[in-house]
Amino acid sequence: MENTPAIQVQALSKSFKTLKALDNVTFSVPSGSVFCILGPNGAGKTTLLRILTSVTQPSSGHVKIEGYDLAKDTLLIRNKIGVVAQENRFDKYISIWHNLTLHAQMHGLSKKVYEPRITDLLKKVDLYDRRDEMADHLSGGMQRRVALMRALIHEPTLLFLDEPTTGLDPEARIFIWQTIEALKGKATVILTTHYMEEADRLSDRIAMLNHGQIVAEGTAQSLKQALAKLGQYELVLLTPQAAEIKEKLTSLNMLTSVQAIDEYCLQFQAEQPEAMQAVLNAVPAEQVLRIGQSLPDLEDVFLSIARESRHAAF
Amino acid sequence: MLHFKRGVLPVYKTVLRQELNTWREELLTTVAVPLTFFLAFGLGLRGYIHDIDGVSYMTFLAPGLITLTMLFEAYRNGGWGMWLDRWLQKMIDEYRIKPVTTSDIIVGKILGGFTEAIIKGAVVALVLKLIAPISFAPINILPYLLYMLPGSVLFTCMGAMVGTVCAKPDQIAQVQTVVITPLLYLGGMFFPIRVLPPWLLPIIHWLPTTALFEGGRWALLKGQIQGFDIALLWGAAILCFGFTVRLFNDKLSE
Repeated sequence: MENTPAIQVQALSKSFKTLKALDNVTFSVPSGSVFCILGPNGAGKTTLLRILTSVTQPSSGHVKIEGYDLAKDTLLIRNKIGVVAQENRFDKYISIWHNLTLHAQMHGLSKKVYEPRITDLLKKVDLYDRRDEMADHLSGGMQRRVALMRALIHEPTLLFLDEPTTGLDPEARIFIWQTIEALKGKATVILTTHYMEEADRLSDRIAMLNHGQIVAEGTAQSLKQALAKLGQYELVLLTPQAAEIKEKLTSLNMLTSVQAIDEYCLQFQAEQPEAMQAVLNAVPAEQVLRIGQSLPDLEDVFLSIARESRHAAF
Repeated sequence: MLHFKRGVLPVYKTVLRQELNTWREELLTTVAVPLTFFLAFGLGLRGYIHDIDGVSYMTFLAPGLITLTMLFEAYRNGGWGMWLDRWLQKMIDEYRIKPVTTSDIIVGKILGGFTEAIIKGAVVALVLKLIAPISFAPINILPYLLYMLPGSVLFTCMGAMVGTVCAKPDQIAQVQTVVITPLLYLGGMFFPIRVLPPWLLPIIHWLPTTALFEGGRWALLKGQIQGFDIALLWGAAILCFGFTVRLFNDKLSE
């Protein structure tokens, strides 16, 4: 099963009474990659993850995990996956240590195997000394780190992380990012987030989910380039005259938008070739350091796609 | 198919561990209710009530209080334990991403609730033995357990069903007030059921709690076993157990 995709999702739909949470979702995830599902709140990310982790049944469609049918080989698949849910799910009436041993025992690990593993993982997050405390004595960030370590105890080949850094301080966020980066190539990571920066930094491929549908899929670079074709350009000046140049470009009446980023840099949108020529004529060549297509960030891509799908819906 | 070692057992041990970590508070609440009843009714009314069926009212009352503790704790553990894990801590969702079945989870929780109920009943029995003139042959514990084992399973299952279905905590309390409390109090804990109006007796006769309080009392005090009671209790417990597992599986697959 070396070349089998880690996940194959085919025409997956899920409805809750009148609400269609997922609508005909199809995608596949290569083994060993980090795949990010990006979308605003209510897009269907958590529902998708709950289905992929076998907690929720789909209304229709098929899912294969490492070649196994999720509907038939559920327990076998659950042994291969690790999950960090959006909320910190701990039993607050037992210790951190027992929360972790419970997970290990339910994966069929023997004490000889799980005790040193849990010890190592807790030391990694500097919480070994607090192992006998109840889980709710830890801060949200600490709980999230322990949840991530718990998901790794049985050495899963597939890790599902549902908005793992939401509400965390920068230190906890960076720890989680580093852990995901260290897993690249060793395990497949499925990550949902609404942080574009996170998706950009961590993912090999991104699927953008909106209103239960995948509205775009590709690498971060390819998604940005797709939007860049719409004619976004960047002009960097040698002198701090951005405001002055902005006025000149606006007066051309050929550009969709002109924006001064700072004193040296402007961004504009030119959708016709003659508009670009007019810009070059309007700005003295000795003032120009660089002019070229500007690559949007993922946020621009997402907002643009969300806007388009909203227009299509109305 | 059940996975005992990696499914039922870890869940079962966790239920017991939760209680062990809060045993001081648990002990207090476990003993408080039966002790209050004993002081109010056993000591307060003993001068007004003659012997019942050849035993003093305090002796008559004591087995009922042990039974009450077991059944009440069984319902409480089943109901609140399930509600806490399903709706508040979301531990049921956490269990469901492990390679175990929903049947493993519910069986582990029912067994845990049942074990706790038996332990707490034993604690109350010890306390009452110290303060009340209750005497029985130790061998009578065996016939008494024949009643209490299915009774505890039955009430744990009833609690687990309520905790599975009711998302709001006040709903569990409402079921307790409207269903569980009348069941417990009409079963002959404070009085022999023959004193009830004749039209009520056929209904009362078929209540599992009547078998538990009336039957359990004489099993503990005199070692008597009523075949009808035992059959009724085990039948109800097995039915309720099967129904609880089915309901839990159905609700979680929604």
